[in-house]
Amino acid sequence: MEFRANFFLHAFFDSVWVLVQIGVLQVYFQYTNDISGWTKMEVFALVGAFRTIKGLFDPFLRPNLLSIPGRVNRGQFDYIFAWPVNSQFVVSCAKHLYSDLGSLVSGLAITIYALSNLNLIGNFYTWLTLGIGIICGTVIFYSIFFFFMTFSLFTVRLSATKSLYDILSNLFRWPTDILTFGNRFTEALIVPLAIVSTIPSKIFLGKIPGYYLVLEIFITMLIFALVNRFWQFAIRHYTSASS
Amino acid sequence: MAVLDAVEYRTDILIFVLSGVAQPIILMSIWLGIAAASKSAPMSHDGFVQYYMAYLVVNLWVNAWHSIFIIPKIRLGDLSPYLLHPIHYFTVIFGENIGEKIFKTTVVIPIVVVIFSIFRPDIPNVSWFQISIFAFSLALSIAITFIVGVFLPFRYTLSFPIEVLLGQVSGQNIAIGLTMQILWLTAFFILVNTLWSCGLKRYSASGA
Repeated sequence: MEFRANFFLHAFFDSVWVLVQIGVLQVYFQYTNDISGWTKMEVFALVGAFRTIKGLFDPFLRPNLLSIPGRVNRGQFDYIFAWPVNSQFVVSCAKHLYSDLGSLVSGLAITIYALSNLNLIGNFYTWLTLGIGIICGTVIFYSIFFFFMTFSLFTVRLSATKSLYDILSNLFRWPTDILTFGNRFTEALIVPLAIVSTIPSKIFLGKIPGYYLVLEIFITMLIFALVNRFWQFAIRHYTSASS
Repeated sequence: MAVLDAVEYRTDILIFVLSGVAQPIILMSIWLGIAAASKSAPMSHDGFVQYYMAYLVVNLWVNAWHSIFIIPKIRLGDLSPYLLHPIHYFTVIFGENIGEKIFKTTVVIPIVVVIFSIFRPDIPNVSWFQISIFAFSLALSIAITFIVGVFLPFRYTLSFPIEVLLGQVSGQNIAIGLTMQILWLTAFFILVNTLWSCGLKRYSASGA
């Protein structure tokens, strides 16, 4: 709360942004009730779920990950690697930015609104799969982003990190079914991205059977483990002015 | 200078370009989904593909991103050396801006070609008259966004040149659109120049 004006401005712009996004969805669904198999409330539920994932990622993980390339560039990792703790944990979770918590609130609000319109609000299965889906989605979102940040240990300068974040969060905000154009080539390209928000949403909306959840959890753990291996490999290549 | 910088840090530029391209492609695919499902969609399938192909290139050229770099320069006093140069600071950043755009275009063109080969839309019949009006209107748009950024005056910076190219405006409306662009440009040019000279009088940095 040190910079209060900044905090409230942030909250204000965040809510304006949510309203714009909802307005845009209203425009799209003015023309049809169904875009590539998704109804309006189902898209709302997905948008809400991904906002919730962002609400967990942005305040607790994002500020740390965004600072990785800059710290590599300036050689500030020397001390961290000397500490007797897991270096991936320290570089991912040390700093928090609470002004970004707004997404968590608006995300949950949109999800609850959509679920009540879909008559799923009292359904225990929905809430259970939603909770697990959001945790898996956050871990995968983190892993993918962390993977790109780890690249900076090899390239030394990487300043386009915010743009990279924009690309990813733009992609995950929509059901991947809409993005494939029914084309085989794009489908193969896009489907791996579905694991962040589309597949979890399909599970809690009951669009695909519940056993996909087991697959989702398995893939989440696999990706997390692979990214961790990559990080371990990368830091062995880390060099700074003094090491 | 800007081209050199861009070639030097290729990964960065590639990501910058992709982030500019991702959003329009997502929007295009949503509209294509709508066009497939609904007869009342505002444009046809081909219409949307044509629009967004033109959008990718035009949006790149009418985008201006220098303001976020000017602010820290003023705050940290890095502006001072530029003020001693014999050319206006605006000319320097305008040159940098154009240089980056040229490089980014070489990345965007292959993407447009890929989109074209996937969707194969009809190519609209574009006359030389349309192309010359488009070029003139695009130049005005670039000048406007360079001066004010991307937010104002909405239609006359991005949509209007594309509409001209795709033949969606004609006759009198072209004249009205161009006049509006020139009016906006003149108004903002005077405003920004006044602000800049007022600002320079107040500007102080260590050693300045």
